[in-house]
Amino acid sequence: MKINSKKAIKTVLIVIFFIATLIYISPLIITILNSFMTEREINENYALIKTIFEPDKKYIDFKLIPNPVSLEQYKKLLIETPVYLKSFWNSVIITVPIIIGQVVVSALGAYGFTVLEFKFKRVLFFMYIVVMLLPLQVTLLPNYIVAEFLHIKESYLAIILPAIFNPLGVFLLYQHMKLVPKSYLEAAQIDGANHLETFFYVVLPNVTGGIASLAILTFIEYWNLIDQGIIFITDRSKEPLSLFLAGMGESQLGLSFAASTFYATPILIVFFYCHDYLKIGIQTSGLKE
Amino acid sequence: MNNNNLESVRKLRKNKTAYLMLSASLLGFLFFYIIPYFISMFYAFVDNPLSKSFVGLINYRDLFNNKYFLRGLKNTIIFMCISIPLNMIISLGLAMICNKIKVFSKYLNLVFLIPLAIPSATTAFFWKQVFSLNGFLNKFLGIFNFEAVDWLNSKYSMYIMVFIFLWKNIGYNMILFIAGLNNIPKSYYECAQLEGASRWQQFRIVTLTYLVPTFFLVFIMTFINSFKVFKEIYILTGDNPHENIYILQHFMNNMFMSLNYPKLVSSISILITVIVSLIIVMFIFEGRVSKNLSE
Amino acid sequence: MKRILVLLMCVLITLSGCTQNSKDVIDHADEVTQTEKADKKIEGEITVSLLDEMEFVDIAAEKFMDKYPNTNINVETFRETEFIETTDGAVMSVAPTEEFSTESYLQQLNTKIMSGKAADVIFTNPLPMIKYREMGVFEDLTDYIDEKGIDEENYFMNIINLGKSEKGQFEMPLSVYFDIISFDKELVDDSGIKPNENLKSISYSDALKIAIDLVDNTNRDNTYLSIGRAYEVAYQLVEENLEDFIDFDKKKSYFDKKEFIDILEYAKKLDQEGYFDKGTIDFYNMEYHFAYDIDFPSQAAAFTLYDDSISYQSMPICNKNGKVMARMGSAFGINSQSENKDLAWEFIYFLMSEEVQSMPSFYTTGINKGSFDASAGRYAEMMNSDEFSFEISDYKNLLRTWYEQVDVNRFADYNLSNIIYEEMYNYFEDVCTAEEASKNIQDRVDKYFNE
Repeated sequence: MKINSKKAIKTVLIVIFFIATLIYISPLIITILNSFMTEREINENYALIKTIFEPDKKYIDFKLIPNPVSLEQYKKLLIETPVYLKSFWNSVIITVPIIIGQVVVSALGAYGFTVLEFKFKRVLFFMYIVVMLLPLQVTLLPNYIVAEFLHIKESYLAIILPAIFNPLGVFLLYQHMKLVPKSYLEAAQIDGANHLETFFYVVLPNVTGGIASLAILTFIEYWNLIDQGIIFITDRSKEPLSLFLAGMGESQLGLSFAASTFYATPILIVFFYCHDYLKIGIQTSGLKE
Repeated sequence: MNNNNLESVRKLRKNKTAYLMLSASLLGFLFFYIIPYFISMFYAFVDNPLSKSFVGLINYRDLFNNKYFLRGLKNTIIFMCISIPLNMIISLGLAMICNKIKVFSKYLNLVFLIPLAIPSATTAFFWKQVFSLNGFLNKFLGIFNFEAVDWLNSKYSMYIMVFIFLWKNIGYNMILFIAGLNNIPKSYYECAQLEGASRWQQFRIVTLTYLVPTFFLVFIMTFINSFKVFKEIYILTGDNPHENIYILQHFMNNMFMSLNYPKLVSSISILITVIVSLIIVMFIFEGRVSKNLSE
Repeated sequence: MKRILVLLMCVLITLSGCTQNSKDVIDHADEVTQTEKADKKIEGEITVSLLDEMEFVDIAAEKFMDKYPNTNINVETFRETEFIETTDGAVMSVAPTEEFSTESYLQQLNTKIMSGKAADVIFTNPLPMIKYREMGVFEDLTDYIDEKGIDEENYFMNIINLGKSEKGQFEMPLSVYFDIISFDKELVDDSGIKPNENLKSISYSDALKIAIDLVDNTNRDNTYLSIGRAYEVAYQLVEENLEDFIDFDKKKSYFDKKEFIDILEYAKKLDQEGYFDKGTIDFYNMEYHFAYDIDFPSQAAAFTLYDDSISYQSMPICNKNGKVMARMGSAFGINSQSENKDLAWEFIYFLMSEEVQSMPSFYTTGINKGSFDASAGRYAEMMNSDEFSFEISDYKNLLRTWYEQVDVNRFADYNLSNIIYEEMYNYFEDVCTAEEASKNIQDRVDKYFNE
């Protein structure tokens, strides 16, 4: 009886997973496959024009297999719209400094919170959390005012700087660093290491998982940025890819499919690269020095 | 007394580097988050973002007489009460499975991360094709002879919103949970097993306790992410959605477009006050548990 | 003592500068191309914010800067049309969708306004002015107008007054839009049904009645009410009776009234009874008649004056009280937080001048009476050909008569119009019933006012 129910549960789970996976990947698969369709076919599928051939066309067709397969959209995208490539590069210019900055600053800050004990520590940490809760619509105007005050409102810095100091990083890494056994830190201290050395050799290697997750999540958040871009970026040639795509709309479906495929690729690559690090938890085997 | 002071000065000098490290984050945080926070709070007490005349609590009083604000607040709270727990439970389960199986775990996690990789505009387009009157869902239901419904404009719209939210954000929490789960030393499980605890007891005693910091983190992040679902809903239904999915963010967005920043800020501060009180409770609880953990 | 004398001198100079300026305005007839003497100290820097490119603004800015060398006018255009020619010759636009870029523009503008750093002169057409006026975004221009002595002699004051609201004048229109309605002459001759000859303008509902009579009492093929569709009828009727449905002062709406549903059902009935064409006309090979036609003034005047014109008794559309309704064309306002309001006003005043308004890039006939002949003449030349011709002076006179009839501001908030239009469209496409449509509009308008 026991074995049977286990198997049954397993099969049920697998079926659920199968369906869930379908639901999850279908947008991506459809986007990728549709990007290989010709413009005409896309219009046929998604436009609801009652033609004389299909007077009862009530529903939208999700065609999976392009017929014919064509690289028309990619040609349009890469060769004929150089502005697309520029915006891709813009996205990279914005996102990479943010990730690096965020990881460095947050690691330092989180370490400070972990080892120091001072009077208002809990209050300060609490402030970190409360301020993080404010949604974008609220913080954009004050950010603009501050950026104006610092004279950076026209450059990417107005987006990059607030992103680097995003309290999420400190919060996340603190939760990870907290779990590093105090004994490790004390051992390092006894051996005469100062804070920087303790940070690099003891704490950091043990929060690889935290850092990897921070990198992935920061990348996702800022690769997808739209609202900050609308407010701070006035020059269209400096638009990042996410903004470019947001403006495409339904008139250029084919192009937006191809562009979305490209758009999704870096995230998937970053994720593939970082996933293994997620699973590295706190080393329980011995102390590193 | 003298000794204590000397102690603290010595401590300060010893910890100088650590303070510097902390200030690296603190200074930027001050400039780009604390100051903006106070700027926005200031606006909550003025009547007009241009003339900035101080009016005290009038904005708050007006809000509670504003039926649109109340509707938005109600829907937002309902949405959060349903979706935040659901999200956390499902993503925890998935993360645990991901941890257990060795082979396909990367791909499993990847699948759930895909929604975050696709731009909002494309996902909104996709869901429009599925849920609209002429969409895929109605086509599918037509096979069973169900009548076609404009899902986003019906009373089921809240469920659609929860679904889209879960679809998009489970991957995010999975990452946080996987990292958190891997911080629990395997030896603790072995210990518990040796002492005769069942799978369920192991889960309760070891996993849940050590996950408390992560839970705290995930709760806050899910709350923040539940605000972002507005983007897709906005692309799908515009300024004037069905009354069931008119959430606080719609109100805030419309206030912004009417240049009524004070109302925007006061409205969100009401919601945040509620959440913050919850967080204070969790904070204290988490603090107590953490003390036990690191010993 | 010295200081007081210096101060007195400055005051005197500025005062004399003011009087000098108004004298220049009155003598303008001789100075079409001569530059005005810059008597007042006109200097400084301002920014002008536009949504789309407007050539005449760019040219005007340059002329202004030439005239007054100590000034700098920055024209910021948000949406630039970019076209790329693809390898097979097709021209593809890489610009974002209009909806997206208008929204982005508004978001940017709002942020700038609320942080006090917006442009000095702002193009007001895309803005929801009801809300902006409430927030005091724009400066009241009444005093500036009085100061410059702007009056009926040189400007169409009736058009300028379209920019007035209860609390003051916050926008300065540079041009105007209104509708001219005309009837099909052949149908009129056939049936003898026509409007009162002495009418100078006609309300839409009256015109509709005549048009229906025309269709009912003639026997020609393919005779329909108009080239439009049923929802346009409904929209026009609603607009005519707008005070019954919206009380702008109390911010209340009354769309769930029987009267509104009646209008909707009436229009639909017309549609069902075949008063509108459903796409069967072949415009090049068939005879067809539209009982009435609505057009914009410049074109309508030409069509009326052609020799074999079929436009009968073209006249402006008025509301139930006989006042011709019009909407502002391009309009500009001054940011109330601007640091250079005087210079901003000078620039707007320059945009109103004959010099600017007679430029070809200004296209239309504007509020400046002096430039009227030049621009009307230009359009008349364009519409004149060997086949179809008319006397240019007749054209100018006709157009001028119409312009002078403009009286009240037509319903001018795009958000509200869109709400009404969208829900009506749903009704006419059978997506919802009349009751539902009226309830939806009621809810949405209420929300728009009271959110």
